[in-house]
This record gives sequence, structure tokens and C-alpha cells, in this order.
Amino acid sequence: MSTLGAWLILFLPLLSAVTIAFGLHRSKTLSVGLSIAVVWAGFAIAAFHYLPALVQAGAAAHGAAGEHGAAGGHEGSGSGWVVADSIRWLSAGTTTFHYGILLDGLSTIMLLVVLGVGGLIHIYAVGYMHGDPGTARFFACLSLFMFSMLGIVLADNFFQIFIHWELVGVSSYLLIGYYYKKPSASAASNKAFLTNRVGDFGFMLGILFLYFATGTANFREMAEVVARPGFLEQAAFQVGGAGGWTFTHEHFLWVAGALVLMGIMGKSAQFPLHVWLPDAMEGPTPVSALIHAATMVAAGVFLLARVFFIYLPSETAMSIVAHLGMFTAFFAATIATTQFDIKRILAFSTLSQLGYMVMAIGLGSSDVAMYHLTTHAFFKALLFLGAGSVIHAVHTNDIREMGGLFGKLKITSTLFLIGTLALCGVPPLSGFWSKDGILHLTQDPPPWADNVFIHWLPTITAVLTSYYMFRLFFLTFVGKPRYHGHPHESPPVMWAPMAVLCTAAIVAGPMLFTQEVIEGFRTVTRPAGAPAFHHIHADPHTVVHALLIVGLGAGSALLAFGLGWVNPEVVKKLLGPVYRLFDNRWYVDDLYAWIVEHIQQNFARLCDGFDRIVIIGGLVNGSAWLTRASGAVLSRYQSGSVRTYALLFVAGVAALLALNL
Amino acid sequence: MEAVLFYAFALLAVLCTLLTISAKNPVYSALWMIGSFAATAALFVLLDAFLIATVEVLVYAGAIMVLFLFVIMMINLRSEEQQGLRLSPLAILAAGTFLVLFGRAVSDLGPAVRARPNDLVGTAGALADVMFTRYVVPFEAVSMLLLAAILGTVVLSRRNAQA
Amino acid sequence: MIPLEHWLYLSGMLFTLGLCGVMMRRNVILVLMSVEIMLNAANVALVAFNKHLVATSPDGVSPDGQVFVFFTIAVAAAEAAVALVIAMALFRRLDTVNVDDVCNLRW
Repeated sequence: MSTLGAWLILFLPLLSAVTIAFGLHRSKTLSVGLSIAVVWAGFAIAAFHYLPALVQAGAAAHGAAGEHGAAGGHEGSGSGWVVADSIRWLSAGTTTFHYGILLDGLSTIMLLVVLGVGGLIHIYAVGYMHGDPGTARFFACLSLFMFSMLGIVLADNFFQIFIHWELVGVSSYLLIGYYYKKPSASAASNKAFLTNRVGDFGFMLGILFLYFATGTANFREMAEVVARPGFLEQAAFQVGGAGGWTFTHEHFLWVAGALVLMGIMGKSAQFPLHVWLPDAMEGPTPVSALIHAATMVAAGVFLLARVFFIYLPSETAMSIVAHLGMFTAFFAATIATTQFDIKRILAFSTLSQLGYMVMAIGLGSSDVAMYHLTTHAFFKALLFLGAGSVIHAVHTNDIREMGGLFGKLKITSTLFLIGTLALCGVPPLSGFWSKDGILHLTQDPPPWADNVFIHWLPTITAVLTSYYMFRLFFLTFVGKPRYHGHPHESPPVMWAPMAVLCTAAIVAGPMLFTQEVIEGFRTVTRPAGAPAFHHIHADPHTVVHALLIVGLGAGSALLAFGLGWVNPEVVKKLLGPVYRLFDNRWYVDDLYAWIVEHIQQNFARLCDGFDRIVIIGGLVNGSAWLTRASGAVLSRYQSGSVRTYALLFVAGVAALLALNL
Repeated sequence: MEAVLFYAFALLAVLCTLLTISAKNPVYSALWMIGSFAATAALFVLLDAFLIATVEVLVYAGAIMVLFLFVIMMINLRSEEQQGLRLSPLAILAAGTFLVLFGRAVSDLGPAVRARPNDLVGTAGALADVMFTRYVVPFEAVSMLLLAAILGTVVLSRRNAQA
Repeated sequence: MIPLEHWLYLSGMLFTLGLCGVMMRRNVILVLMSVEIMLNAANVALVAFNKHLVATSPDGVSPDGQVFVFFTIAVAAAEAAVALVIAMALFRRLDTVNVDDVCNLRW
């Protein structure tokens, strides 16, 4: 199967971005049209050219495996279907950098999500950005983003993925700071980029560690090296001689895994590098929907699935991943309960769901994580687009200035409600199958994560999720109208993509995503020994469990915000310090600000002083001063007196004689 | 016998030179210098370098020193302007160091210094034999040099008004 | 027999005296005379070397050193003449023969 389609998918958006930047931006219509066309062309190639091949290969492999009586738990991608291509890009001594395509099941599903959801959001953005003078610039940045993201999805080695990782950061910076004249927007884009940079530092170190340990940066080759018997016990190097401590490859892997995890923490906004995501809502809503809900933040989860083989051998690494995800999920959900900006609530919700995905990988199942990533992309994008619709109508983000919008914005409200239900995990919507699939894992966790927190915290988080989502819904769409002006429904160009996403959110359950399908979307680098995937069964026990969770959360929200029986102010006073903790985002941002102001700035001042005094003052100016001073001193010997010269002459000769005798 | 002559004339030469450089009146210096050259000529005779001794007296003492005397007279310094040797400790130190090192160099020469003198007799004929055969080119060059010196002298001694 | 060393010591002493004269006298004529003294000392050394170190060959001893001295004396004469005429021109210009007064080329 040729990789031409993949190369086209990857580079057409770049072509679009460059064309718009270098002249096409004068025509808004053409720019927008090109940008949208490129995305849908990519989707067409992925859906109609590669997907059928994947399905066919999967069916064939499944048929063959069925004969052997395998009951599930295939290793690797169900079929091992892969389309790969690699170009030698840069040679430096014995190291060669490649740029290539790795198109396997995992890439395919990610392509479909990115291109599909992305395409719908591109169309929505036409309506949302209507009338904005910089629309062509917006779509150029969107195309650049598509190129960067698709590069991550299709990359076949770590260096390439790192390049695109950074590119995605750049696109995010450009898009968050789209309203560049607003100081808060440009500050937010700086924050996003810098936080990502911190993560990328760890990421780069991790890549170098892995390259050093395995000798390659290519994912498939690396997976093979790690899977070689005896590799893990092999010593990488000794510390302290023969009797000292041996640093085996296993240690190497978990250190490298932790470092790569830093990059993932930055990109997927896990604690403690989550601080940029809420501020990133300064960008236009389509940006929030595309980048900060559906695709870019999911890149971290995608990477974890891709290089799962690094983490699975080490229990320490898996434990770190699982607990990190769990904590982030809970942490974000608590903050979301206190926010009043509609997009911020959704942003924290995204943080929380990403935590679920990371935790799922940490608990051993990359299948469930990717499944949740897919369903989450659908309903979170839907929710964001709906929020955009609402903002478009009432011209404010603050939910305290909304209320009773159900009547005015019927389509938006209905779609938003379905999205909310999907997110909370109400059966039979897709969110139930994916999110409760993860919760199911937490009740029967692997040995490295078997503790009371894993048992209870994700469930509590789910209750909190329902609570804040329904709080959002009630305050926005139900109750007494608190808005100003005359809100009206969005044009079809805006609600039609939402409707498509809504449909996807409804049907993306096990009917469509059967067990075979999910196994087909595995990556070809998946290690042996990874646990199998099973859909949860919709038995009465599970359904009641799910509905109970939703009910608890929604019920509290209903009491407080829907019916007004419980006064939220009273509750706020009762909870006092707890409420303040959540409202101030657990003071993490303040901590970082303090660190920057007192530690980093002082260090910078020290360095600046050293630079100015020692280097420029001392070395540069000093050497000039020394030259001038010595010249002034020595020139006094130019006396013009013949006798002095004669004396010096003789002295010189005497010196020469003395030296040579 | 020879040794006595050598030491006598050597002493004479050194004394005369010392007086040359330390005399106040430049005319006296010139005269002492003539004495120094005379002693040196005697030393050359001791070395069997007869032509050189003759040339030393004729050219050095006879021509060069006369020239010096002419110039000294022409410059016509009055007594107040005559100054003697200005003792400069640094200069003495430098010269002394030089002398000491020179002495060391000489003593480092090794067995060669104890060679017996050969039987060279530096007569005009002997020198001429070599000078007009092997060293004829330098000989002619020196004559060119003398011509240049004459011309230079003539040019440089013209009064500025004409230049 | 006077050993070569003694001749060389003599030459060195004369040379050093000439050096002292160059360094320590202020009259430019005297300086030139001291230079002549130095040249003379070198001549003594040359002739002494010729007498002691040149080997006897079938044609007799080659008097190369003395020929060299001959040329040296000629050159010294030429040089003394030109130097003196320069000193005279200097005297005409600056009305002084003090070496210390000729220091225009100074910093």
C-alpha cells in the first residue's frame, strides 16, 4: 500500500498555510476555502483509502486467529497492518535523522479524529469568525496547526515527533494569541508556550536517553529492541566498579519514561504543567474546541499509546502514570466546580478527562484510553462549539450573565444537553461506554496501582463532573434570564457541524466501536503482555452504578442551581477554605508566579550582573583598557634619545649572549 | 721577548682608548685615538700582518683621524660646551655585562684557543695574490663604495641655499 | 707564544671601551670616534684568528682574514666620511653637536 496518500495528508495543510501566508490572504474566501478543502481532502484519503484496508486486514487476521481459538488479547495491532515509509533526512557521523510515515491502526483512528473533528470545526469557524478582518490569518494558522498535528500522528521516530511537537506548540501560541492586541491573550499565549517548553526540556532528555539505550529513535525498531529477551536486564553502565551499582536498561527505561512523561504533562496539561490550559481559553472558541479539547491536548495520550512499550515493563513508571492521571482528573474537577466562565469550566473539564485517559494508560489499557480520547473528542468539541454559539448570542462568557436561554437557542441547547449527558456518562451514549470503561478498570486495578485512592477518587471525580456540568447547564440555559440584549440562534453553518458531532457522540458506542474495531486501532508497536480490551457489559448493575453517579452530581446541581432550593452562597460559606482552595486553582498559579518572581528573576539578575560586570566590563572593556594603558606606558620609552637607544641596544645584545651561553 | 712586546703594546692600546673616550677636549680625544691606532698597528706587526699594519697607520691614523680633526676644528666648540664622559651606571652595567659574557664566550671556545699560530706572513704580495684572484669582485665593489661615499659627501655638504 | 685567548681578551676590552664611548659621550663626533674604535677592535680579532686558526694548506696559509680586514678598513673610512658630513649638516642646522638635543622622533 503506497504512502503517497499519507504524505499528501501531511503536506497539503502545510501547502495551504504557506499559500495563504504568501499572498492568498488577500482573498478571504479563497483562503478559507483552501483551508477547509485541504482538511476534508485529507479526511477523504484517510477514510476511503486507508480505513478500508485497515478493516480488511483486521477482519482477515481476526478470522485467522479465530481458527486458533484465541479468546482475545492479541498482541500488537490485531492485524499488524502498517504502511510505512522513511526518508533519510540528515546524516551526522554515525547518526542519521529520518523523516517518515508510520501509518498503523493507532495512526488511522487518530487521523480520522483529527481530520474529521477538525474539518467540522473549520466549517463552524467560518460562521464564528464572520466579520473578523483577520480571518485569512486565522485559517492559515489553523492549516499550520493541522500540518503540525498530523505530523505528530504520522511520525515514525522520536525526533520527528519532537519537531512536530514543537510546531504544534507554535501553532497553539499563534492561535491563542490570535487577538494579539488584547494583553491577556498575548500573556496567555506566552504562558502556554513557556509551560510547554519546560515539558519539552524533559521530553528531549527522555528522547536522548532512549536513543542512547536502544541505539535508535524509530518507534518500531525501538519496540523490537526493548522486546528482545534479556535486553531489560542488560547493564547499561556500572557505577562504582564491579562491586558497585549496575544501571540496567530497565532503570534507563523508567527514567526515560518519566522524562518523556514531562513532555506529555506539558502537552496534555497534566498536573503540574496544567496551568496554561485554562488561560488558553483567550483564543477564539473554534481554537479552544479544536486544539484544546479534541486534538493537541490528546497528542500526549496518543504518544503514551504509541510508546507504551517503554512504560509497560516498568511497574514504577506505570504507577507514576496512573497516579498522575488520577490526581489531575480529581484536581481539575474540583476547580471546575467554582468557575463562572463557560469556557474555563469546559477547559477544566478537558483537563479532568485527559487525566482519566492518562490514568487508563497507567492502569494498563491503552485501548480504553484511545477509545475515550475518540469519544471525548466528539462530545467535548460539541460542547465547546455550543459554548461558542452561546457566547456568539449573548456576547459574554460569564454564566452569571446567562440564564433561561433554552427558549431562545433551542438547537444549541438541545445539542449541548446531549453533549453534557455524554460527558457525564449516561447510557447508552458513547461517553458511558468509554468513561465507565475506565472506571471499571479502577475497580480491578493491576498490582502497582492497587490502593484506596485508585478505587474511590475516579468515581468521586465522576460525581463532581456531573455536578459541575449540570451546574453549567442550569445556570446557562435554565431559570430566570439574566442576559442583556436579544440572543438569537446561530446560523446553520455553525449548528450543522455541532449536529454531526452530536450524532457521533451518540453512536460511538459498542455498536460501531466493536471490540474488533478497537483492537484494530492498536499500534503496531504495542508490547506483548499488554492487557486485552473488553467492553463493559450494559448489565443492570453497571447501568445503575452509572446513573447513580450522574444522579448524585446532577441532583445536587439541580437543587442548587436549577430549582434554587439550596442556596449556593450558604454552601460556599460553609465550605469556606475548601471553596477558596478550589476557586484559586489550588494556588498552583500563585506558586509558579512566586517562583518566577523570587527565584528565577533574582537568578536572572545575578546572571545579568555577572554578564555586565565580568564579561562585558571585565573581558571586553577591560582588554581594551589594558591595551590602551599598556600602550600609554610603553610609548614613553620612545624618547628619541640616541643614547638611550644605544644603551638598550647593548642591553639587548648582552641579554642574547646571556641566553645563548 | 714577543710576550713583553705584546703586553706593552696591548696596555698602551687600552690606555689610549680609555683616554680617548674620557677626554674633555675633542681634539685631545682625536690625538689619543691616533696613539691607539699606532699601538694597534704595532700589534698587527706582532701578528705578521705587515700590510694591514701599514694600512692601519696610513688610512686609519693618517686619513680618517685627520678628517675627524678637520671636522672638530670646523665645528669649533668653545670650552664651556666641552663635556667629558658622562658616567651612567646603567651603561656601565650593560657594558660590564657584555664584557663578562664575552669573556665567558672566549673561554668556552675549547681546545682551539690553544692552537699554535701558523706561519702566515701577511705581506703585500701574499694579500694581493688572494685579493685580485678570489676576492676581486668585493675589491671592485669596495671601490664603488668609496665612489658612493665621495659623492654622498659632496652632496651632503652643500649649503642649504643651493639645495 | 701569545695564546689566542689573550688576543681575544684584548679585542673584547677595546670593543667594550668603544661601547662605553658610544653610550656615554654627548658629542656626536666623539660617538663616531667610538664606533671607529669598535671597528678597530674587530679588526684585531680577525687578524688574530687568521694567524691562529687557519690551517696550513699546500699553497701556504691563506690570508683571508687580513683581506677581510683590508676591506673593513676601507668601508670604515667611507662610513666615517659620510657620517662626519652628516654631523656637519646637523651642526649647521641645529647649531649643536649634543646628541641629546637631536630628539625630534619622539612620542
